Amino acid sequence: MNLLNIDNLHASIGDEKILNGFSLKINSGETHAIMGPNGSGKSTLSYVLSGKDDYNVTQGNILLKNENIIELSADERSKLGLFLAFQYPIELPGVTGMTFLRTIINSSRVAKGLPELEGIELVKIIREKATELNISQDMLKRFVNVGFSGGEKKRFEILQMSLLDPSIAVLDETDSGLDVDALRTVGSGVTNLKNKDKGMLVITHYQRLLDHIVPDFVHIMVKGKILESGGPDLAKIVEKEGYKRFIDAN
Amino acid sequence: MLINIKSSNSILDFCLPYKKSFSDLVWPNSKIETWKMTPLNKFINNKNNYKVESYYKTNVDNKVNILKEIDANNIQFLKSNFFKNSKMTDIILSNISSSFEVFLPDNFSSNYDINFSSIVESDIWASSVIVIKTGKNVKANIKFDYSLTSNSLCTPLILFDIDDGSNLSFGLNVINKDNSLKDANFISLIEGNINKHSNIDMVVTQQGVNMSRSDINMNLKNDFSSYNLTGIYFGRDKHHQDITACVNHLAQNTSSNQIVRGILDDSSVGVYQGGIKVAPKAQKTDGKQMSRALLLSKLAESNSKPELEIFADDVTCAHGATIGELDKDQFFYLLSRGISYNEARDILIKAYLSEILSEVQNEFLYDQLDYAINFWLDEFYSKVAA
Ligand SMILES: Nc1ncnc2c1ncn2[C@@H]1O[C@H](COP(=O)(O)OP(=O)(O)O)[C@@H](O)[C@H]1O
Ligand SMILES: [Mg+2]
Repeated sequence: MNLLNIDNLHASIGDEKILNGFSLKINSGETHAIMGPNGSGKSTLSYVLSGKDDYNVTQGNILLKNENIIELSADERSKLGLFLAFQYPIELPGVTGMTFLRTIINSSRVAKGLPELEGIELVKIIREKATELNISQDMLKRFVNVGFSGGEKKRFEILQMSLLDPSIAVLDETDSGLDVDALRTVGSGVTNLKNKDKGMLVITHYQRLLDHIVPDFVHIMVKGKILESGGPDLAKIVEKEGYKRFIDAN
Repeated sequence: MLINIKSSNSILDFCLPYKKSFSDLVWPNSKIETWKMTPLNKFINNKNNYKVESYYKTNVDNKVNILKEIDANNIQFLKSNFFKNSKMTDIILSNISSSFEVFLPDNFSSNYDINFSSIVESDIWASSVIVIKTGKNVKANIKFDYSLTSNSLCTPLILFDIDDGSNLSFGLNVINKDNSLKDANFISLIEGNINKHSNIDMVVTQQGVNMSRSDINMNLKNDFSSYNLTGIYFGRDKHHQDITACVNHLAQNTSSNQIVRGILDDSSVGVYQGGIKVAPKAQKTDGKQMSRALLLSKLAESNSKPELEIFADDVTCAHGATIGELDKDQFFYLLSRGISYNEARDILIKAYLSEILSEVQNEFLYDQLDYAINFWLDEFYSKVAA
């Protein structure tokens, strides 16, 4: 089944055109990776997909499970099963991790037509998943992302993802700021969530994350659109030769 | 118990030169005040008419003997303070309706919180002079709660004299008694001297009245004295909320931390003004002041003026003031997790408030902040954006 269909997407912020005809289809069970130099519009793509309203979509469509979501707000998109792991997770001073996670779990359950869970049950689920991702109880008592290290922030993103259990997840540079061990934890955390019903879009700068989350397709993105698509080998070429070759060829 | 300590002859004599009838009073405008963002004459004028009267309720047991009338020593202290240049002091002293001293002798350590509360009824002007004086090595919690009704005026003048090695937690809370107040005005002047190795931790909360201003001046008079203020005001309707907070570092190794937060809805106006002054000999001063105002409505307004005046060289000072709406990126983060707009707004407002709570460890003061926050959340906060 087609989960996400991005068709000829053009988006700008202010006068600046950032996405210039970006197209990509993701079917259930597939993992796609997008690689591209800094500033090529990868994060912008992730924001436009999740409905951040700073951007102007001037052309194109985004279909999520065959529903056009261009006009939907960010929360509605999330409720339809889209998740974004932020490149730069936002600090929420005054909101403790535990409270935050309980809130998002229950609002996603309500959206799915499931009953809300009670405190004890919620805490149990959260603790279990947190432990898998090496997130301490202590971290959950702290304010969301406030004073978290780079790696803690990224692990907390993946924890949210695993609790919300989205149909399609966009991971924006989830590998940056991670040391080798954390990379392995996050990699296996994400891999555990992969299944035949879900799709994944992994945005990265480096090949190394793709050793842990093996993609079915790799796309090279430059200046707001895909220049070339291929299999996992493409990532190896980038690793060796950088992006110059793709830019020159176009 | 209800206290009604007769004003002593000392204070009556002291106030005599200031005596004026209400209709002859000239309420200060911005020009003649040190801090200019709350023009009192816009809120109070001679059209108002009040009966001068006030009383306090307290849990202090008569037998403990810590409540006294203001004596000649205190008058000396009153004369030496620098409110003497303030027009507002003159106004308060023109019509005193109660005056007393809380005297805590050497080594006093109370096992209960000392509470005072005052309800100011309609058509009343409650104007009081209160001296809080400690001996050495005192430890105490003191709280003043003021509750105002329509067409009332409350103007407490509170003076601290804290001797060496003492530790005082002090709270001042202003709320409205009725739900919809008209012409309820609160103006406090708070000043104190803090001596060697002594500390005051203070909380000020203001909400619900049409105009409220607390003007706080603390003097860190001797080495190793310290002072922390956490202030919070809530504005709604056309209310005007002002916390003016100044600290004077006058000796070495003194520290201060003043945090003021506001939350402003409807067409309310918030004011934060204040400063840190460091005298030439006050080396190794550590002074911080931060204010933040959260605007919940396009019509709300916040004005701030934090100032530093430093005449010593070995000091660490930080100050800043921010004013803003709820943060867009935080909003987006919450929405992207499937939280609806109104719920996200609710979470962020409560986060803003609980952040201020997280900065207060002292349980006595924490409870007062918590009460003020919940009072606001229960009575006035609308979960849905206008
Ligand atoms: N808020 C913004 N205003 C103006 N330009 C922006 C803004 N955000 C991003 N850009 C620009 O858009 C381009 C793409 O940025 P981004 O999507 O973050 O790229 P990437 O994630 O691939 O590094 C960059 O040139 C960046 O400078
Ligand atoms: Mg990026």
